[in-house]
Amino acid sequence: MKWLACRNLTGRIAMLFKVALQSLLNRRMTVLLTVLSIAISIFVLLGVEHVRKEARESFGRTVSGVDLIVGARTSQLNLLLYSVFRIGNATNNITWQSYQTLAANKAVAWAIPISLGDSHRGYRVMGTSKDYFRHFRYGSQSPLVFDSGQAFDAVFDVVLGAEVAKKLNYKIGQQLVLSHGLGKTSFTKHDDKPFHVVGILEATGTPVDQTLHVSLAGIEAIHIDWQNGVQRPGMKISAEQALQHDLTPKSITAFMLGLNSKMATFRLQRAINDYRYEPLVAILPGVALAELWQMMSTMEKVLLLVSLLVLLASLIGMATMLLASMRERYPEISVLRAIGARPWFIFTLVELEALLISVAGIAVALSALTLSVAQLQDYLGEHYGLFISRDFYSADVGFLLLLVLIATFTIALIPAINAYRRSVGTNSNS
Amino acid sequence: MVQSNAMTQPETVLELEDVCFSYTNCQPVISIPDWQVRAGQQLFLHGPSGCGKTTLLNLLTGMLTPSHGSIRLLNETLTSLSGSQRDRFRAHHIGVVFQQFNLISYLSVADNIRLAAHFGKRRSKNIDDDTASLLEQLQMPARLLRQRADSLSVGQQQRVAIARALINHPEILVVDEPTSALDEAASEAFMKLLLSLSRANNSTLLFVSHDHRLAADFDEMVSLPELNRANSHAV
Repeated sequence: MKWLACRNLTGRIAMLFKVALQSLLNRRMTVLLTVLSIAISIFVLLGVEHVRKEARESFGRTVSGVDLIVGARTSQLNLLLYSVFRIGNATNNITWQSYQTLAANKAVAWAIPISLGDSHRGYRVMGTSKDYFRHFRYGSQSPLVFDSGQAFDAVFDVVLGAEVAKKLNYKIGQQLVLSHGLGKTSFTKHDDKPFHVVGILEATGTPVDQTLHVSLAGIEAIHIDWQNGVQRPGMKISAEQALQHDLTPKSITAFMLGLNSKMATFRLQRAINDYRYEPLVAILPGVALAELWQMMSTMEKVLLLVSLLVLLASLIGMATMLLASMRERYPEISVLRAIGARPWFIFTLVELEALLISVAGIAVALSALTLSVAQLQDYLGEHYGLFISRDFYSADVGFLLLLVLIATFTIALIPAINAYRRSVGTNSNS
Repeated sequence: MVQSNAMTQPETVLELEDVCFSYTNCQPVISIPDWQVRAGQQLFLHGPSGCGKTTLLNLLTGMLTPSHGSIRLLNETLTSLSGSQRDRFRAHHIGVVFQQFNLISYLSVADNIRLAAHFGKRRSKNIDDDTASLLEQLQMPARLLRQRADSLSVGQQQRVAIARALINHPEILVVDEPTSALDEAASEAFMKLLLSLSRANNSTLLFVSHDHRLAADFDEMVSLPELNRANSHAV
């Protein structure tokens, strides 16, 4: 007898699903639009949530183990953004003299100079020293690792980030030409002084992947016949000739410091901020990041609120659609009642239709999100130094989707109760 | 559980005692002191619109409950059953044919009939065979089974409604103005089929209409205004 009851139940559920699906298919145009509107709102909700989480993650893992970043006086956010994330530009350079003085401080364990301002096909070029490969850390104290080749040695050597090598299909030994300025289509190229690829780094999921690394001497060499941002006419100096010149840089953009003891951080920071010969600023990357989050958290909350409101609007739209369809469904309800369907069947039918619409919306949203995250991944990485993972399934997403279904059920109570009342009341079929 | 079809039917199929119904508290729409219908009868209930026909049918099928009094169907006191028990009773023992809109428009003809069989808890595997044979008796081609219900003509839909109502072999068939949307020829054909199939099924037929001309082939005619003591003109 038990298996019979069980078969009955599955039969009943199968019947309910069949009727609900056919009913939705019957109204496929309005249902499709409703599914789309719900899909869009879920897409926005999950998209915002994913990017928000990934942005934090991505920004947080970009730099680690650096105690201070020093640059020309500017806001700490600006310095952080251009030195670490390659977003925006430096307001001013700092002299080589200052760098040397501060790097020689007793408290300093290591120093990495950074010189920015050139690019290669949209990717930024960073002049630095070999210490960069030795001391720079990202994520949880991970060092930079060479996928192939090694650090630059000669003036015209270049080390590529993983993304640069992959996207532009560069191999060790190839030659490339740097452009002046940061545009993707720069007209002023340093084509008289080509560089050789000597190393390619492993992927890090940070802006390092999108950077070309050359020595400070290399940066100096390509600008030796330039003045105030333009090449001096009639003053061409060839690559060989340039090597004869003194290639010690006169200025750099910023530098990172690792200290012997964390205890010295604040003392050194104050000393740098009070540096007498030049207006400098020293920042703690963690503190600057925290400031960034603080600025963004209001924004994040607003975004989340907006996406929740969009979701609510489309769920109410669905309830409206279902409620509006009730009028034309009264004959259907009375037929169901006449053949013995209980009011609960009618109620469940309407709720099931609403849930099926939401589930379809969720399915559309998830596939759209999968596609667009894959598409956006590169773009966000290239333009905003934002590395988001493709994998957006998490407990939080599951929770949000559950919330969507609960909200769907709750809002669909309006048409469902309407249908229930209708089916309990009189049954005049016309 | 109510007794099944296979057992001998009670002599009296329907018994109303002191039944009174009103939508609001003021005036009763239905007031029937005493009324019985014998098993197997084909009964023509005549009444102009507004004399409580639909309300009476809703009471008889258990869709509504009377304000007081008792309704007994097949030895079961309908008025003492719960709502869901009444729904189950209706699914098992009563076939209903409305004026129009008898089918769920977006389901196929076969699914419409299957749905009724589902609620009637038909255990037999040969629902499809039964459907096919009913359709044949109703002089309809079997290919209609796969069509959507709303692709059929009104006359065809009304005939499918008979098949739908009879699929569970109900003891009682309640039919409400089924020919009002049909022309005369279709109406005549429909009546013939309805009477012969309900007889073949041994169902007691309660047929409601305002149209005297349809009463010819029935066993008995009852005038609703005479039966119903509530002299109101409510719907």
